[in-house]
Amino acid sequence: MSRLSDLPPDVIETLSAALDGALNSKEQAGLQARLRDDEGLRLALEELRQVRAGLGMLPRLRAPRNFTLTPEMVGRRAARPAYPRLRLATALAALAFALTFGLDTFALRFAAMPTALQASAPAEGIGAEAPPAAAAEMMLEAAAPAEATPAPSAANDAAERSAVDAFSSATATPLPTVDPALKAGNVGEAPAPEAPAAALPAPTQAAELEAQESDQALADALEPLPQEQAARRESRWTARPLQMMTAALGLLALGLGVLTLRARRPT
Amino acid sequence: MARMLDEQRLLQDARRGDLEAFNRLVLAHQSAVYNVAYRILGDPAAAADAAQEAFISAYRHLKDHRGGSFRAWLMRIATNACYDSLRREKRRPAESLDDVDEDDADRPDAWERLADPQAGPEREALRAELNRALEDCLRRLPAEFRIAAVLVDVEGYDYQEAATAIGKPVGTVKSRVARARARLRDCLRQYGELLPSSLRLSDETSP
Repeated sequence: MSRLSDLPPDVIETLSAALDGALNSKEQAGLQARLRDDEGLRLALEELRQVRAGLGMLPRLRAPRNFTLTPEMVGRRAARPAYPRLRLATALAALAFALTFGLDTFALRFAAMPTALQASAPAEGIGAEAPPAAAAEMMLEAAAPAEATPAPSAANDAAERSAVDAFSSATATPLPTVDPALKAGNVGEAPAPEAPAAALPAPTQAAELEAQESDQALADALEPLPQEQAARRESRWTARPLQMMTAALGLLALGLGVLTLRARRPT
Repeated sequence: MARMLDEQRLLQDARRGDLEAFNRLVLAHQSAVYNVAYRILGDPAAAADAAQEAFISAYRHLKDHRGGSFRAWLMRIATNACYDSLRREKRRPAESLDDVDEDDADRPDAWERLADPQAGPEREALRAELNRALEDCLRRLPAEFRIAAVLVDVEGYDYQEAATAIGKPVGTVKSRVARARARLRDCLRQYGELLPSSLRLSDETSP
């Protein structure tokens, strides 16, 4: 009669595997044949079965406590919600964007102001030396920009009148200043100066020369001065970094806004 | 199937750092992990410590789990935690098991037995004797045999799952389980008179 302790390890392993249904069909058939002939082997198999059954009867234990983890246990802080931080960052970026945008706009206007001043200053200078028509034109531009459209006709009238005045000055009087009516912008309503009827046909060449000079002065006044161009270029150069910063802050505020919205979304 | 899908979803969330999702997995598996740890270590406090260590380690190494049975993977971590505990125990000699006079009231399974209203007092006493004998014999087994026997015979794992849990080939598991059963049989022989007749092993009845 075989005893379990007397059996070789491979036989015990076969018996044990048979209990677990882990034998293939060939091994199973061979074991069945041996069991039919060997009572001791059947006894050993029964002993193993009882041990296995006994272990299976051991009661399930209840866990004495929960083993759930806390952030401290796994060595990390509890994750702070990102939404409040993102919201603050978005607000700050938007504020910075608004400030730089306002600064940029102010800088552009500020850069444009000296240009206007420079444009008016030479006009006054020209007015002192140039024929009265050009001076009048510059004054008109400075005084009434809304009446820019009728200005050319007024300039023509003024040029004709200056020709008449030039003729009269050539005869007797000093160079007349601009008519007060012209200064006030009432060119169309200004009464025509009274010229002696006898003097009209004579000084046509002088008048033509005077008219050409006045046209040149007008063209010079309308053309931007080199100083003005330089000022414009300078203002462009000073505005560019600010504009870039404004654009960058705008993009940053936009990106942070998108992230904030995503963080706000419940997961 | 739904449970498997749910487990996969929880695993995905836990891998992304969702501790709440992992804790749901802990609640689902903590009883099995604690049982294995207790059967291997034989001590409730040590088993609880090992189970806690196992869950912490599992969370930290979640990225190493690449599919397959999560239960088996978790049990592998639990058995490793038990090995660590046994190594620590070896360095710190404790009382001999033979000298320990165990108080049944302190043991969690004793509490469960007492809580079972269906068991009569006589049958309950017999089951208690058998359980104590089995637990004593389990403790005397070498750790590798004990773990194999606990996983396959106590927890009901198949060989493949147990092989995954202990990180050894199926053949090794099969061999260890067979040798553990044979040794347990030899050990239980000394308890023959205490065992109920239905479970008394053949040696005690044979001349």
